[in-house]
Amino acid sequence: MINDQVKLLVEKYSLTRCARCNFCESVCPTYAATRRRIHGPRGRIWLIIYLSQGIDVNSDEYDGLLSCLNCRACNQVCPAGIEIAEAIHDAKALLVRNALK
Amino acid sequence: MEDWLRGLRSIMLSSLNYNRLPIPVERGVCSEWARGMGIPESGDAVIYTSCLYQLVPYINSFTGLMEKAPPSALGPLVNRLSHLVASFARVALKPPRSEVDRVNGIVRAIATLLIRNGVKFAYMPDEPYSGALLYELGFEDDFKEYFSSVVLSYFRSRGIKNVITIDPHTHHILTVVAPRFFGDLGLRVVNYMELIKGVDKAKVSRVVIHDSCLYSRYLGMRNAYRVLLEKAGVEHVEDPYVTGVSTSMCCGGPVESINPSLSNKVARLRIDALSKLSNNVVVACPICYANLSRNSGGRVKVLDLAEVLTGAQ
Ligand code: SF4
Ligand code: SF4
Repeated sequence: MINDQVKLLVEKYSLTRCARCNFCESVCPTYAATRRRIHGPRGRIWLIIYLSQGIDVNSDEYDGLLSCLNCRACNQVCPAGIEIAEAIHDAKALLVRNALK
Repeated sequence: MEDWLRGLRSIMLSSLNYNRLPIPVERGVCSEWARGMGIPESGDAVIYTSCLYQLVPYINSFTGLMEKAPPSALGPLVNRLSHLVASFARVALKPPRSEVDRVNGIVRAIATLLIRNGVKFAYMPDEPYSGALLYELGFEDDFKEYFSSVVLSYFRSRGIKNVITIDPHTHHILTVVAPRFFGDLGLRVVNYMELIKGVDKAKVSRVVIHDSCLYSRYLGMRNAYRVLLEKAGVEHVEDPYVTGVSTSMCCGGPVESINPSLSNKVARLRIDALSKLSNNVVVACPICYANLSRNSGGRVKVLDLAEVLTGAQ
């Protein structure tokens, strides 16, 4: 059920356009703080893609997604033009709704 | 993490239910700033503080408390004892008076700037919080329910048509988020910075600006405070990376209730970067003010824009 909704997000934001160039990681404050991919934009959007494929998310990865600041720095530098902050916000809302069921 | 989310939601919802504020404090803290200013309680335009600046000292105490008793532990308790939330808050959230005075001073400075510029406005002693935090944390269903049943109906039942916002979170909710969910709100929303045309010469001469991500990258308003500082004769040091529109980093505030240690770490890195440019850091957002001043470690002075423009700091 959640996978289907996440699939719609992957399509809506064309997340698979991500070329894994890492430009976004260079401006992400949470990535700068931990240097862990799951705390950066690239890791977060790939997590959304994996979720859409039915792959389970552990609590550390879950925390990584929820700790996005929605600061939009990543959007500004993504050469693929992905609205990363918006995609993460929508995924957060889905996960939160699911967690509170 | 699920327990944490549940706990956080319980705390926020029971507080919103109790006093229409996201943390359980007495409503009086929201309107203390207006005492003695002679601002009327009704009029064509209203200042909508959303109580955000006024809550900063309590948010600071609350974040400190969360590090000791995380929402995953606190939430279930709040759920069971929601009727005790107010008494709990009175005992647990006791910020220093100096912090309370400082944030009330910021709201007063904003009101003073408006008055000096001939803007006529009223204030709302019982204004509800905008619900921004619910939306930003991903509690979208709760946000929609709260905003329509409390905030929108508050404005509608009082026939309020013109609103002056004083922070980016409330401005974003009223101009972007809520219209997306509810269509035209029937409100004309302006930010206080748009109404300030003239300012006196400031006391500080050189500062670095810490941009609010919302003002800068969501609302296209990063020039508004730059222009005001220039009018006040304040030089703002710019750096292509530290203060650039794409690369300036967030204060970490948005995740203080989800991951406090990460939030603090982000703030300290931000202070490191800013302190290389100036010891005076100007902010224009209560969340940036809270997170950066809490983590400044005495290395920089965090000043609100309105304090600089009124010469209070
Ligand atoms: S919006 Fe989130 S992922 Fe993007 S730079 Fe900011 S914190 Fe990182
Ligand atoms: S900048 Fe864009 S394309 Fe490059 S890794 Fe980040 S999300 Fe992918």
